[in-house]
Amino acid sequence: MTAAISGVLLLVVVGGLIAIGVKAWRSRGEQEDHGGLDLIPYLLLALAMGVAGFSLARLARASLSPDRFAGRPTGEIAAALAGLVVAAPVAYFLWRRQVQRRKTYPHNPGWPIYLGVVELVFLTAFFVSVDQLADALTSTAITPEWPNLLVYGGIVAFHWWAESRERPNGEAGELPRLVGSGVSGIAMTVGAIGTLNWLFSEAYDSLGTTITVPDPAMPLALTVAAAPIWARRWLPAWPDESNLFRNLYLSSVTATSLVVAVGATVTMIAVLLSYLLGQAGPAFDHFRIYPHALAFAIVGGALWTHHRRRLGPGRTGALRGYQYAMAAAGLGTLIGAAVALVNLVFSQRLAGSNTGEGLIALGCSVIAAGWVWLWFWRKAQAAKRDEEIRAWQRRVYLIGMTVVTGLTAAGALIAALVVVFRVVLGEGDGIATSLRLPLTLTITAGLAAWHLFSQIREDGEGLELVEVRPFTVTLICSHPGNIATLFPSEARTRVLYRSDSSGVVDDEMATAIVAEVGTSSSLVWVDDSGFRIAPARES
Amino acid sequence: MEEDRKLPGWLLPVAGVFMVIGLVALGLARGPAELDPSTPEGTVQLYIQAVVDGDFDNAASYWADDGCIPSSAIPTAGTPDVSASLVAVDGNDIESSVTVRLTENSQDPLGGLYEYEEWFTLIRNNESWKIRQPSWPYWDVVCEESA
Repeated sequence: MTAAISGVLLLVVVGGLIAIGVKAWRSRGEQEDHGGLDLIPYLLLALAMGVAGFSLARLARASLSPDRFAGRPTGEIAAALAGLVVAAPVAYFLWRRQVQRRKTYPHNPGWPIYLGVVELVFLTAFFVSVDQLADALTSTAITPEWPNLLVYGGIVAFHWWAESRERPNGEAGELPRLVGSGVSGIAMTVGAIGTLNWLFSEAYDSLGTTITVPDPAMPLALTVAAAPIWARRWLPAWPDESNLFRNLYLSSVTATSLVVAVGATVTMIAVLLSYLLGQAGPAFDHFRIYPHALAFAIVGGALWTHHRRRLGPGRTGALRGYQYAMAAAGLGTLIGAAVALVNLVFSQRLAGSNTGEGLIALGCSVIAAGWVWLWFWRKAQAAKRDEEIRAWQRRVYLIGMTVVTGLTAAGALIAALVVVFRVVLGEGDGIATSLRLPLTLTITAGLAAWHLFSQIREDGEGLELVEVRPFTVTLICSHPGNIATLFPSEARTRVLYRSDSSGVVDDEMATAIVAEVGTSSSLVWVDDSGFRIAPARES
Repeated sequence: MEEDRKLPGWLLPVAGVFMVIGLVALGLARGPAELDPSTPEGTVQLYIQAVVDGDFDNAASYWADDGCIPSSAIPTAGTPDVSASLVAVDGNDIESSVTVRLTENSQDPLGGLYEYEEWFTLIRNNESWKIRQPSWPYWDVVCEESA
């Protein structure tokens, strides 16, 4: 079952990567002149490489594992050979074919998509092998399956080498590095959290408590293996131009790390508060969550600090994505925690009073989620309106969350009406108890949906008001950077290149120029002292 | 593109073919590990080897007397065609647990391989170990707990 779910998830991720790549490529409108997408050969190549890679790992395992103690591994060797005999020639033939194709069509997006898929599959398999090897070396398990590590690591290294020889380019060109950064980042995060958890648990245990101290081998091995790979894939400089995939990656990683850090901090605050308010048992038992929560808070905070700085100066697409993702996380948590809190407050206790800790935890969650949502929503509202209401990140947030909260409210209303109609028809009792959850959910989710829908309507009216005529911006500079992507779609940007290098438009300057130009035709002069803008005749 | 000329196109596949041939030769030539028969894993090794060789009376000699014991020394499905590797050994001086990964070859050419793990519980019997309640391969079990 787990394998089936993993397979489906992998298919979804790989399919998503391919779909995004295809969309990015098609949006360029160049596929007719550049040899098409070439995706089918690359998909076949990825499939053949996968079968050959896993067959080779199986063969190496069967031949090199040190602990075979009965029978000959003929079955495994036969199966691995069969896979290799079919897949390896196909992979070799397609590899050579695509090398030639790339010489003719160097901007084809199939190459970076292929590299991304291979990195996703084999780097993940590599970290799983690291985990298994560390477990085998330090526990009662005996089989150190190091052949897996060699084969998967070798395949990843081979593709890095191929990537260094032929750098992928175009909008999807950064995919392999981003996939590598993501996979190794997750492994490093899991390892770092596990390592810190072990350290803090040891410290907590030394205070005389009886806490279960986790085994440090696997998290330490993951950290040691993943950190250099993450540093190699993520830390080197990225191109100056804005990139859709990098923005998505940065937004999601920054938002996720902040959610982890805030969630862990709120948990610690709730535990402390419930202790101070006398809602807890013995202190040593009560605070046993602290080693885990502290590890999550520190790692989440460190990741957030690192990635937040890279969202770029000015209101970039990555910053927008991050802020709306946080607003969505805050609003969703606010609804869930508020509903749980109301239900806990009014639940009937049969005996005793052990809900104090839960009430405090849910109260803290409501306050934190509400604060997060308000903080990020206000930041989005404070941005320049005519630019903001055009941003696709805002539309995704508003429309997506309206659909989610609206459907939730509708479903909860149906559940509430079922209870009401059953009582009307003379069946069922305890209507107050049965109605509590669906009614609370209907009201909270409904209010959220109403708020979001109102914003969509206001944005629609705003769009009509700020409907602008086409205008032309003539930029005299040494390098325009990504300024053309920041202007509204009505702008026609012309660049007159200066011969010197003192007029480069960086991200910060680009944002300032776009803000100052507004929607008027303008001439923009950029030199080492900054920029100057003069109105131009409407085209 | 100059680097293309430095590495001939045939080099990688030829190296790959040699590597595969080497691995196959190594896998077929290597004998099983030599484990101490007085250890739990060594006992399980002797037991599985006896079952694979069809020496069922010898295999039955590794059974402990207590617990559920098979009614016949001959497995219901005959001699299994498997290879086995050791996964883990756990326990103490009195009782031990040995985890083994078994790879069973299907008689059907398209049937593939079945890989699964089996757990053997062993109890100390003087200077040797005995397998308690053998669950592999599949036996008709008489569940009579001895006193």
